[in-house]
Amino acid sequence: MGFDLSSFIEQLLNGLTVGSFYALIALGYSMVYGVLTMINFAHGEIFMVGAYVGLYTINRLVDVGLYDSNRILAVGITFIAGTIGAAITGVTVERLAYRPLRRAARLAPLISAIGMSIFLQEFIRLLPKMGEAITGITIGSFTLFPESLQQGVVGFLEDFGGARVKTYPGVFGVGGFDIGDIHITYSRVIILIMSVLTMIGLYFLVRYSRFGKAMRAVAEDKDIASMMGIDIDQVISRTFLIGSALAGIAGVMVGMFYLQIRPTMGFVPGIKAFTAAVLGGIGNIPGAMLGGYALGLGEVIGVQFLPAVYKDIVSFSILVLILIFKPTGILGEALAEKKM
Amino acid sequence: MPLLEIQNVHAYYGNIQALKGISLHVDQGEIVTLIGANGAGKTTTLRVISCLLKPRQGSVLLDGQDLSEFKAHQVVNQGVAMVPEGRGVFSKLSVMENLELGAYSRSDKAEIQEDLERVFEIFPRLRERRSQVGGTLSGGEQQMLSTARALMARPSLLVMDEPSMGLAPVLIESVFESLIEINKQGTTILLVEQNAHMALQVATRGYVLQTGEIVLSDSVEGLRKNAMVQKAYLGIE
Ligand SMILES: Nc1ncnc2c1ncn2[C@@H]1O[C@H](COP(=O)(O)OP(=O)(O)OP(=O)(O)O)[C@@H](O)[C@H]1O
Ligand SMILES: [Mg+2]
Repeated sequence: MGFDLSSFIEQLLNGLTVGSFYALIALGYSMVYGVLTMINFAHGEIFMVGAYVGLYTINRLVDVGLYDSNRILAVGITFIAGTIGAAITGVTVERLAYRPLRRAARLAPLISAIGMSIFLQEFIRLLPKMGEAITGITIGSFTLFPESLQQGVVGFLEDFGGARVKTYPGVFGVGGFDIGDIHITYSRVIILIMSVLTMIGLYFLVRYSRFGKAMRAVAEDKDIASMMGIDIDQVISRTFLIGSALAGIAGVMVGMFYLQIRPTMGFVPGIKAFTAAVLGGIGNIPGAMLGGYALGLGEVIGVQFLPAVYKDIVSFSILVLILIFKPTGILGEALAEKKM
Repeated sequence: MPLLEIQNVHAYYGNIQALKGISLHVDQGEIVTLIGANGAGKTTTLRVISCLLKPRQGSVLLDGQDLSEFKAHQVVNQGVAMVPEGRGVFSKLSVMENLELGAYSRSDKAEIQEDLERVFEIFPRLRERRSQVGGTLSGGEQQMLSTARALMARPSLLVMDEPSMGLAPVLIESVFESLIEINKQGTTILLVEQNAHMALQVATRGYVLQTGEIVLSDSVEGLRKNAMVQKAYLGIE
């Protein structure tokens, strides 16, 4: 196997693209861990819901013609919709799976979050069937929903979810530019720039805003934060909101980049992003960004030497090695000692 | 009407009873001390005042209003600011950020700025260190920061949990001098201490807490003369 510089550089670009996805998703894990010292096991599914809401939105924009007349606006609206969809899902997960168990043993909310994760996956998968079941209810000879309405509801739910793979329109196309004999697609550039800008925005929010300071205070000590007048529940809820919004952005990006989405799509990126968060130092926001890119690049470097199908083995070997040799990650400090 | 009135408070951790019906009050303008040994229930009393621990029986009144209606984060808005046990400085946040969080519940920007100047005047050290993170301050500086942060809430009642803990004698003296100054500027203080020597010098009245019960309540002169206080808290045989 000869060494080919231009294909290596293309692989690096690929690593940065995938790293952007990992970093955006990893931030949600890390932010939630920061305020709760808990892993949100439903985070991968929140990402998936973002992709589905985005897909539904962009298809409707295709239907009404906006996608063809003003593609940038249509893509913008799609991102906003996917982000809001994921954010609402995240806040709901916090409300249902975490808040009622705030004082319970630590294992309880983790289990309820796994429950939420399974629920969300099955919910999206079974939406059309649920629509049929609910609209098909009859009481004696009386049908609850008239036939036309029934078809409308089922049609809507089929457009939204379902077990089959769904496909985004090819927003980015395959266009790009060449530097020497290296071909760089616009999609990679757009994803990289959008991700980096989003993360810079997040950094400033956490560093300088009133919410950011409150969030860091809650991460350090909830009792003392509440003595300062900080509403802990509100801060936790907003932390889920922001982390989930970032996952929603990643969901729409992944949909537009890989085109195909499915209800199970959150699982592997979820675990990879969790790996990235641990790699960077869980609870640490710059760490999650760094970990995401490090993992993305680590994977493509790994597959320079190994067959591409070994990519996941590379990631998870990295996870195991960090957990054994440096559980605090690259930028993390000894959280365990502080939080217990 | 007293500024703070605690009436017959019983508090538990699970099945462990930490407070067995304590009553005390603090009048406007006073410095009142609550002294007691380790495990007497001092911090528990303050957790009840902060609404972090709900009493199973009894009530806490602030200016006649029952605090049980409030959640922990609303207490500061009612005029009670805490200097918690062990200082509770946010170690990863800068001195400035700590002070800003002290004023988190306020929105009067101009007056917050005034108060910032005022706490920098009381604790000039903090002005020098304002961009340093809390965790790298010395113990004495952290105590100053914790006190200054509480003052940023512009409280009517300042509640302090063992501010002298772990400080060298000269530092303790300066902490207490600043308390007297703060009190002169119009803030009522409830001072929880094990260091009865110092506490009885700055306060006007005091209570002695023993295993969850108030066993004595008197003026500081009275307490200093009390044989039990002398033996248990002042080390005089
Ligand atoms: N979280 C808790 N769970 C169970 N018991 C507790 C808890 N916190 C305090 N206690 C118990 O309640 C009693 C009173 O504790 P508290 O912290 O109020 O004492 P203190 O007077 O502040 O002591 P110190 O001077 O050591 O700070 C002690 O017996 C303590 O063991
Ligand atoms: Mg105590």
